[in-house]
Amino acid sequence: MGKTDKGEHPLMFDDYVVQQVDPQWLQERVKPKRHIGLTPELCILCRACEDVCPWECIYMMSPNIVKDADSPSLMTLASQSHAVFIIDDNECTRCAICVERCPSDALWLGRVDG
Amino acid sequence: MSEEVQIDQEVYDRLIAGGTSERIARAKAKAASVRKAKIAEGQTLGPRPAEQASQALEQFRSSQGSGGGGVATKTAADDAGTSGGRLTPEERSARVAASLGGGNGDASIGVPTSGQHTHRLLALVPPAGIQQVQSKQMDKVYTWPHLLLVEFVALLAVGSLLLVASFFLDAPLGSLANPNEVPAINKAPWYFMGLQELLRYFHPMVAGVTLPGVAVVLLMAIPYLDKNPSARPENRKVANLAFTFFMTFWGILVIIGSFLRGAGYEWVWPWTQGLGFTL
Repeated sequence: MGKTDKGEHPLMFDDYVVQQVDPQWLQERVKPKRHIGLTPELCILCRACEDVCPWECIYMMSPNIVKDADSPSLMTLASQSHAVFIIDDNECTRCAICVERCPSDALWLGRVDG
Repeated sequence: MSEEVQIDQEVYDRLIAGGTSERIARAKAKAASVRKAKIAEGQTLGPRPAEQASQALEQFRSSQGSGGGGVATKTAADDAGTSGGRLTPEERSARVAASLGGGNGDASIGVPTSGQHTHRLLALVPPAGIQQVQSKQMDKVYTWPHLLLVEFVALLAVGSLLLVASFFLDAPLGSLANPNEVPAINKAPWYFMGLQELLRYFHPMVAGVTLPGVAVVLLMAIPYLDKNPSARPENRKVANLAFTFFMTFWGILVIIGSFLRGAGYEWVWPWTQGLGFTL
C-alpha cells in the first residue's frame, strides 16, 4: 500500500469477515453500476494496480487478514491462497486506470453478476 | 431519458463545421445546453473548493445519527488543513448505514451496519495463478555448468599443451652479454619481429613512429569509420576486412622476421642455412 498525496495510509484491518453480498443490492447501491473485477488465474501479483490507483482503494493483502468467512469452503480457499485482493467500492471511481495498467489483463471493469 | 435534453443548436453547428463527428457533436451540444440551464439556475460548475467539501463533512459529522446521508463516497481532501478530509471507518459505515435507512441492521442486504469496515473481495489468488507459464524461455542458459565446464576443459587442454611444450623445448637465458662479441643473429622477441622487419625497409622514423602511429590512430578511428550497428559477424564486412588485412599483413612480417632472416638480418631460405629462429 502506497502513501497518499497527504502522506496518509488508509486504515487496514486484520479481522475481515468474508460475507456474501447480494449482487442485486450492489448494482442498485453503487453508481455507476460497473465494478472492478479480477480474474485470479491471470494475476501475476505485480501489484501495479495498487501502485497506480489514484484513490488508493485497491490493495493486495496477505490471506491472513481474513479472519472468518460465511462458508467453510471460502475460508479454505482464503487460507490456501497467495493473496487477497480487496477493493473499496465507496472510494473507487471506476476510472479503470488499474485495468489499463494490468500487464496480464487480469483486471476488468464490468457488471457483477450473481 | 437522454432524448428529453435539447441540443444547443449553435454549439452543434459549430462542431459539425469544425469536422467533429455527428455523434460527438450531438453529445457535446447536449452537454452545453445542460450547462447553460445549470448556470441559469445559479449553480456554479466545475470542481468545488476544498473548504466546501470540508464544510459538507463537518455538517455530516454534526448531523450524524439523525438520518440523512446518501451513498458513501469519497470526500474531497482538505487542502485547508482542517481536521477531516477523509472519513474514518466508523464515520463511513455510519454514512452507509444512514443511506440504508437509519441503520436498522437489516441483514438481508448483506452489509454489516455496525462499526465494521466493508470492502469488496475482488479475488483470492490461488498458487496456480502465479505459476502459469505463458511461453517457454528458449535463449537462457546458466553460467554453470554450460560455460564454466567448457572453460575448465579449455584450461586443462592449454595447460597440458604448455607442459608438453616446455618439456621438449629449451628456452635458456643464455650467457651474459658481451659487448665485444656481437652475435650473428640478433632478433627482437617474436611479437616485435614485424616492427623489426619494417625497419629493414623504411627509415627508423617512418618504421618506428609514423607507421605504428598511423596504425594506432586508425584503430581509434574504427568506431567512427565503421558505424554498422549489427552484432552478427557475417554482417560486419568492414570490420572483418580490416581485421583480416591487419592480421595477415602483420603475421607475414612476423613470419618473415622470425624464420627467413639469418646472420646480419639477411634473407635466407630455411633449406640453405637452416631455420634462423631462436627462442
